[in-house]
Amino acid sequence: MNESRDPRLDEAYRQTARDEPPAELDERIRAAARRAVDAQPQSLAARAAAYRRRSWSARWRVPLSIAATVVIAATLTLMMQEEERRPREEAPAPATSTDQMSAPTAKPEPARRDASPSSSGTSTTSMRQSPSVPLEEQRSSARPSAPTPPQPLEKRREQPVEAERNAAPTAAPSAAAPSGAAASASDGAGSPAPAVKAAPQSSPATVETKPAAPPPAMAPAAPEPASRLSPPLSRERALGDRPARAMRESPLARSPEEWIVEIRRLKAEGRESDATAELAEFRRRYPDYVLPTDLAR
Amino acid sequence: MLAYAAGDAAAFDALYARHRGAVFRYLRRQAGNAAIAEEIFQDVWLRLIDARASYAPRAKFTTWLFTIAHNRLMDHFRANARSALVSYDDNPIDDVAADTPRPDESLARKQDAARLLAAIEALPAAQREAFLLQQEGELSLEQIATVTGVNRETAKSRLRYAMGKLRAELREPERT
Repeated sequence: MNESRDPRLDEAYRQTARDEPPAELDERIRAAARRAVDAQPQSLAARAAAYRRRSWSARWRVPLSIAATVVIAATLTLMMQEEERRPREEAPAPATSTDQMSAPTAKPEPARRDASPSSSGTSTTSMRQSPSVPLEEQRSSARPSAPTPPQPLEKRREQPVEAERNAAPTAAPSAAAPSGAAASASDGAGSPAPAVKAAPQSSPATVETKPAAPPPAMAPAAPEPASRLSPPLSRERALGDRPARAMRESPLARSPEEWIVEIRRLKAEGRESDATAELAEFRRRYPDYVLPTDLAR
Repeated sequence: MLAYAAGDAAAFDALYARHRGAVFRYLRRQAGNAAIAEEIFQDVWLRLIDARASYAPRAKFTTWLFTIAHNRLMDHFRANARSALVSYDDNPIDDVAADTPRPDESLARKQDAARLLAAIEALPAAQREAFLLQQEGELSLEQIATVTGVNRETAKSRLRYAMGKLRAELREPERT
């Protein structure tokens, strides 16, 4: 820089006219500058202050909204997938008899019974509340190995079950037929499926030694010993939720002992008509069964 | 400038007071006409006012200011082809006379200043601009190159030519 300067020339230039802009021009420019600031007195400063003030909220508003949306969407998706996956997981189970043996009981069944209201007027519903002792013992022995399903899901399932029970109680006895509840609904409660009649129900002793023996209607054409040993609840679970419900509502799902206990309980409660109907149904199902003396009359 | 951009009107007054003379003389010498210089001068400062929000201190403020002035001057030159000779009807040397205290010194200075101003006026526009930016804007070679949009060597060459001619003009009366 220094080599490009000449002190004598600089001094000579400084002695030249020091022109200045006119005063009115100065005032015009200063006024324009003030107007520009006054026109938006707070725009720049306020914009900067507002940006600083809003920076935190503005900076986090969008990311937080996106994060909340993602979390909610993921939660809903997982819940829906869980709802859809649960029946599908249970449905393929009955394909193998080894599965039935390895998963002897279904834990949701007692929980469902505990949660079900007892105000239903149908005999099938009231019978659910007093299971027979051998079956209960068998279930309690199998409980520790059975996984505990989430309670809310069970409660959600309970409502359609109850609605189905109340809507079509007469279709329940034949609903355990392999063709499904819809096909057997036309048969009526008093006409069990032929498979039921053909099924051997020899004596109470046989039933007692095999308290969890599968109902005749649900037994396969060539029953295997392993499948006979598996308790009915595991079969219910293996067949999925819908067949399990049908079996639960059917008298065939119970052992004769359970049924007799239910009939006794109905009588004890003074519901003679229900008890009589149940007893007639019992006699029709198990004509060879020797009734106890209190019910034989 | 940042203070003015933030809304401080007084900051502009200080800024204007510091640079108004240099910018005006630069424009006055380059435009060659006081009225045109005043018009361009006003435009330069209005552009600065309008650009206050987008101002970023990427370079020295003087460099930025003289760049605006240079661009505005080029616009003027493009719009109005400037004649080779500029009329100095309103003789600036007369204005200087009022400031000088002693008549004998003032006469010599007036003569030197008149010769120098005439020599500056006779310079090619690019060389004159380089000299004026150095004298009025106190800009370095790099800054002159930035303002005029040329490389440093070009700016240096222009300045060297301008100073040589002016030195020769100042020495000539001594030789004669």
